[in-house]
Amino acid sequence: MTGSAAETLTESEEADTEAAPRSGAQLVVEAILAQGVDTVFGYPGGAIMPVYDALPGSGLRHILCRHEQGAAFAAAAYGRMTRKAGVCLATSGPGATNLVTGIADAYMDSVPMIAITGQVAQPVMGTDAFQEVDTFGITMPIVKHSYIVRDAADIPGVFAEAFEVAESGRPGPVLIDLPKDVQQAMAKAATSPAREAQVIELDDDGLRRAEAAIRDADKPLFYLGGGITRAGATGDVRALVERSGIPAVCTLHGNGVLPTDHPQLLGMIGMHGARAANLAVQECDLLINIGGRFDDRATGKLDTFAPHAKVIHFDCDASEISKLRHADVSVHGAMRPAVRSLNPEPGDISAWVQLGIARREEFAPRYDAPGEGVYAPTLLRELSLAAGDRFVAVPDVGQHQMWVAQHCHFSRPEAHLTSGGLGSMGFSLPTAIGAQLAEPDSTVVSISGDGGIMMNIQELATLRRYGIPLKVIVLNNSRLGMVRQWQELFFDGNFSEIDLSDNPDFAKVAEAFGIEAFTVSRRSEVAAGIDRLLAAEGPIFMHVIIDPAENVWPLVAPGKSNSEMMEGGR
Amino acid sequence: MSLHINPNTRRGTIETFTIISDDVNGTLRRIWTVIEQRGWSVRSLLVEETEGGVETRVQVSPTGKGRSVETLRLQIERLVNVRHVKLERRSREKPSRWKEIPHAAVI
Ligand SMILES: Cc1ncc(C[n+]2csc(CCOP(=O)(O)OP(=O)(O)O)c2C)c(N)n1
Repeated sequence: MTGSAAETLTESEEADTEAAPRSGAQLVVEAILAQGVDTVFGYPGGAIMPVYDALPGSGLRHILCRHEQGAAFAAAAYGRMTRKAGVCLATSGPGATNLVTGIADAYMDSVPMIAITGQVAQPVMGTDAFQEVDTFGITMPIVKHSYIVRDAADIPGVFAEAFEVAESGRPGPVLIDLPKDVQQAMAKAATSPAREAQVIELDDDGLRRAEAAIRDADKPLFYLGGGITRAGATGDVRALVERSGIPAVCTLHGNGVLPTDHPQLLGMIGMHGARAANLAVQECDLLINIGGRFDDRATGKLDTFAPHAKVIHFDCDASEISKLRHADVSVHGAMRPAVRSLNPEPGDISAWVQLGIARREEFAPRYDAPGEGVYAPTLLRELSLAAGDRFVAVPDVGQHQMWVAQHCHFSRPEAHLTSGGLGSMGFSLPTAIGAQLAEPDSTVVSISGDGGIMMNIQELATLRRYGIPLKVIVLNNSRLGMVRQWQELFFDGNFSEIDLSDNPDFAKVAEAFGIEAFTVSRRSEVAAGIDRLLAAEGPIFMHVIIDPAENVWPLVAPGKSNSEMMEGGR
Repeated sequence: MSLHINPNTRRGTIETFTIISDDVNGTLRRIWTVIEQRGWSVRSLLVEETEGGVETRVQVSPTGKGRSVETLRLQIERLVNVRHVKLERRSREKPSRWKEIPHAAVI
C-alpha cells in the first residue's frame, strides 16, 4: 500500500484494522514479534498446537530442538548473550516438566527468559486431564514471575509485562501458561497500560560512605560478580577498577569482566579459584563486591571468609545485601549509574598491589605437564588464545567446567557462558546453540565431559538441521570426573558409579548425526585438532581422550576456609 | 503410640509481617512459597481485602539456621505483585493470636 492510499483510510477504519479479532495464538506470535524477538526455541504438542498453527508465515523463526530442556537452555543463552529475554515454547504436562531444569538454571543465574507453555483447556483444568500438570505451581519457586492467561484479550498486555519483568532489575525467567481454549479464542486485543519501569534512585549516601571506606582502607579489593554482566555494566566497572588502581578478583560469573590478562586481576576466587585471588580475599581489609551474591562455592566457609574485611556491596537486588555476609556499606540500585558515580581515591596501596602481582606470578598455573597424553588445561588455554576475541566458551558441568574457568582467556564476560548457580549437566550443547544463533559471527565452542554430553546429545540433530557452525568438544575421561575426584579425595577412594568406560565412540555418534567429527588422543595432535576445529565452516565435533586420573587444582574442600587450598597432581 | 513432635514444629521466634499486595490470583501462593523456600515456615495467615488490593498478615518462624528476617522481608517485597511488606514486631516467643488458616483455603 502506498503512503497516499494509507492516508485515505479514515481514523476509525485504521483503528478497526488494528483491533480486528484474532485468535489468542496469533496474538501470542504478534506479542513475541512486538518485543523484537525473531527466534524462538521449542517443541510442539497437543496443548500448544494452536500457537504452532500460527507460526508458519508469521515471520517468527522457530528452532525445533530435540528435547524441551534443550529449548530452554538455548532460549536462556539468548538472554545470557544479549540481555534480552530469549523465548522457549513447550506443550503442557511433559513438555512443561522438561523445561523445568532450564528455567531453574536461568533463575539461579539471573538470566532473562520467557517460557511459554500450553495448558489444557480451562473447562478441564483441575480434572487430571490428559497431559495436565500444575505448571504454574511446579515452577513457582524457580521463576521471577508467572502468569496463567485466562482471557485471550489479555495476551498483549501479559506478554509486554512479562518481558519487562524478565529483563528489568535483577533479570530472571518468566513463565506464561496458556490454556488451549485461550489460544483458540478470538479476541480483540485489549490495550493495557504499560508497566511503569521501576526507577531506583541513586544511593548518594551509600556512594559517599563507600568512598570514605576506600580512602581508609590499606588493602582494598574489588570482588566482581555476575550481576555486572546482567546490568550491562562491564565497561563502567572496567573504567572504575582502572581509575582506582585497586586490585580485583572475580567470581565464576565475573570472569571476563576484566580481560583474563588484565594487570589488576588476581584471578577467580572460590573452591577452584586461583591461589593469589583467594589469599587476597582472606587478607584484604575492604572488599568491594559489585554484583556478587557471596555464593558458597565462591566464599568457602562463610565464617572464615574475608575475616579482616569491611564489605561494600553494590547490588540491584536489595534482598542480596547482607543475606549471607553483612555489608558495612550497601549501594542498592541500578549498577551503571552507581559505578559511574563512585570516585575511589585510595591512599598508598602500592605494597598491597605489588603483593598481589607477585603472588599471581608465583602461583600462575603451569602448562608443561609431562607425558604424551592430552592435558586438558593446556588444550583449553591454547584453544581460547587461538580463537581470539570472538571466542565464546560454553562448558558443561564438572572438572572440565572448572578447567575452562581457570585456563581459558576471556576478553569479555559473554565469552564464558556457564551454569554457575544450578550446575546443570547437559547445559553446554543447547546453550552453545542459542549463543551461536544470537551471535552468528562469534566462535562459539561447546565443551562437555563424556557424562554431560549424553544429557543433551540429541541436540546434535539441531546443529545438523540448521547447519549451525558450532564447535563441539568432548573431553572424555571415561568417568564422571568431578564425582570421581571427590570420591578420591573425600570418600576414601571408594569409586561408586562413576565409570563410563563403556561410552559409545563419540566421534561415530556425531558422524551418525551427520556432523564432521574426529578424535584426538595424543598431545602431539592437539594443535592440528584446534586448527581444524577453528577452520571448519559448519558444525564440527572434536572428541578428546584425556587422563581419567586428572584432578582440578587448587581445591578448597567443601566446608573449609578459602585459605585452606589443596594442591596436588602434577 | 506416643506422639513425637517434629523438631520443626518446636519453633523458636515468631515474626509477623503485614503484606500489601495487588489482588492478583496466585500472589498468596507465591508469598507462601517464598517463605517456605527460604528457610522459614508459615504459622498462621490472615487475608483481608482492602481497597484495591489485599492485606495479608502472616506469622513465620525460622526453620533454617541464621536466617535474617530482613532478608525474608525483602525477598517477599521483591515479588512482582507485592507492594509493601512491613515487619510488625520482632521475635515474639508467644503463640499466634491469629487462627491458623489451612493452606488450601487461602489460595
Ligand atoms: C543434571 C546433573 N546431574 C548430576 C550432577 C552432578 N555432577 C556434577 S559434575 C558430575 C560429573 C560430570 O562428569 P563429566 O560430564 O564426564 O565431566 P567431567 O567432570 O569428567 O569433566 C556430576 C555427575 C549435575 N551437576 N547435574
